[in-house]
Amino acid sequence: MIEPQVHSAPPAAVQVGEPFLQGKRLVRFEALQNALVPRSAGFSEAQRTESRRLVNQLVGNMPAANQRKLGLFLAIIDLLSMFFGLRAFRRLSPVKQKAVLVWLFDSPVGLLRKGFWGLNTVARMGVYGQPGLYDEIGYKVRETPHD
Amino acid sequence: MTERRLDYDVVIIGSGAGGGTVAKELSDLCRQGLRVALLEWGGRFEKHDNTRREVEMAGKLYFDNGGFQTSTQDMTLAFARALGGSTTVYTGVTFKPPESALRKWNVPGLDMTDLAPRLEKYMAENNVHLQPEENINRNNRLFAQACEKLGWKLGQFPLNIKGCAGLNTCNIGCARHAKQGTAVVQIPVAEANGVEVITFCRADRIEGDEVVADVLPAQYGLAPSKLEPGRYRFRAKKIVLAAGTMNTIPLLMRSFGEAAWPTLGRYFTCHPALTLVAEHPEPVEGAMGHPKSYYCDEFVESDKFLLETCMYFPFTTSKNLVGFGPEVDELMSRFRYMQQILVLVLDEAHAENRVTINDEGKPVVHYKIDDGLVEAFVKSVRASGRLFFAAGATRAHLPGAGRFFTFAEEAERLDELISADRFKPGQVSIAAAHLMGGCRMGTDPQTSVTDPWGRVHGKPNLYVADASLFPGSAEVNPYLTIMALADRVAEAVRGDLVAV
Repeated sequence: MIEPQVHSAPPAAVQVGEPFLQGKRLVRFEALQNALVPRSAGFSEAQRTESRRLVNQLVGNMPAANQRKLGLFLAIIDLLSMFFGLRAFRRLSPVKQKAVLVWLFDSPVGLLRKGFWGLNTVARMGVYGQPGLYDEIGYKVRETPHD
Repeated sequence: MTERRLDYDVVIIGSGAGGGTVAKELSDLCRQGLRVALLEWGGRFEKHDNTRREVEMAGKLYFDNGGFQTSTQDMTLAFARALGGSTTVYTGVTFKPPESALRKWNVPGLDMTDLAPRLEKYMAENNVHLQPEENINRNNRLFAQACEKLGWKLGQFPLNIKGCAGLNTCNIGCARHAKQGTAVVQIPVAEANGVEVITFCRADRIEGDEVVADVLPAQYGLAPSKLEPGRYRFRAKKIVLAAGTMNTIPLLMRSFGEAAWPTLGRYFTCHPALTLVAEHPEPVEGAMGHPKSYYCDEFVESDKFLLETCMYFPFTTSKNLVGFGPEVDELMSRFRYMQQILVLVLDEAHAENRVTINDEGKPVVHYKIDDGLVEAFVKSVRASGRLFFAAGATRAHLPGAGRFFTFAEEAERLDELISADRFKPGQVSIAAAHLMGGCRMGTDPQTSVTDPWGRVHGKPNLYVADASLFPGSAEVNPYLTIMALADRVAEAVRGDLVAV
């Protein structure tokens, strides 16, 4: 029987600590985001800032272990890229970048597929989570009527 | 830490379909002096608190932004944290449980004779009705027309809405409070009768006749709890757990141990779901109007899946697209032209699918996407492809096809194109929001956690009143069934209080 736990930590939705996307991690993530969701490569400064804000908020709310896993996965992709072109992912040609991503996406190793899914999801959230993009993609809802 | 003690006759933990119903059903006793508290972890969302921004509202209304991962990380679960629980974020789809599901549950005394009047009561209370045809949007009409063309069984969803403006953002709460969930219907009645609603109150464990809980500071600019933040002990003659499968089970485990009842946490089911997307040559404008009007139950008996209409938000839609690169952006840019279908697989209850807790006492869900489920998914994708193309779609995104788009000209080859070996868990986005089981009802404490009236075996003052009671899948969207069971639990509590 486990000991009952006392939970005095803040609820999960409160972000604490440094933003996830900074330094090498930011560079690695955005190179991957641009390949996964090419629309992001053409982002304005404001859209880029909003993408970072959304991603930092989402990842910041994850348990620390998951944040570490995501950071590690970004680093692993850079290592893996060495096998495809002797360079970090961001310095590979688009063709080789795609080859790296296809390898992960379709990996026979379930863990790599799941890691890829997680990264892909976070990258998409930074893009399609932006209400500023709704007009551009044709997502149109009715205005909230005022009572 | 200073702990404050408060005395009640009944404490209800959780304010969703179960807890909100129990609160309302017991509330008339408040007029005779009964003290009832309703504890809710989340806050009270007023209409003006809803910005209808997808990511922002998902973060405010759901645990883990609606993307809680199972232990094998191949499925995400959505469950809410707000006054009204998951009734705040459902679409209002109202189904009576099928008699076949009740027969499988095999709980003595729990049959349609008992449940029918309870189901009818809440259908009337929550204004359940069929939408008039003029309120049904093109995304839904395309689905219906295709089913008719294919000769498949089609049904219209009864919805529990009032004053719906067709905002389409039901799954991130309703900015009109048009959905008649417990925060809109049952809880206001309970409060008017004297039930004390305590928001931002996170129940930690049960010790004897006390609920140990933390009242948290308010978040998101919502109204604060009526109690000051801090630790509390709520003493009660009767404690009702209605925190939902993902919180009731951990609460029992933290309080009494994971093995206190042999089946605690086990037989978890969740209707694993896929969202599928197709593109039409003409605008569909599926985000205008209520998202859900029709379902197709042609394959329920034969292949164990249900097809429903749906229309999700941009990020959620993109998350469901398998793959990456320009094709994702290309399809997303055609949002106005999208038709969407939600597949629900009607999963069987297996003991090994279960909820446990980690070292911090938080829930961990173990759920195996086995070959049977993959087979059901593959058949459901083929069926959805047929439906999309019968509706006039030019191309569809069909997981298991091994490529991003499948085209209308290939409609005759769907059986060949979509196969189980190309449908890989961890690659395909599988999600679930109908979280059921883990405190199954029954008569034998070796094979169940509660009796048929929700009384926890061996704990005469402790009850469960949420979807964790289900011995197996409801096989339909579950909120109405939860309310009917909660009504039974309220009846038991009332009777037991009289006996006390």
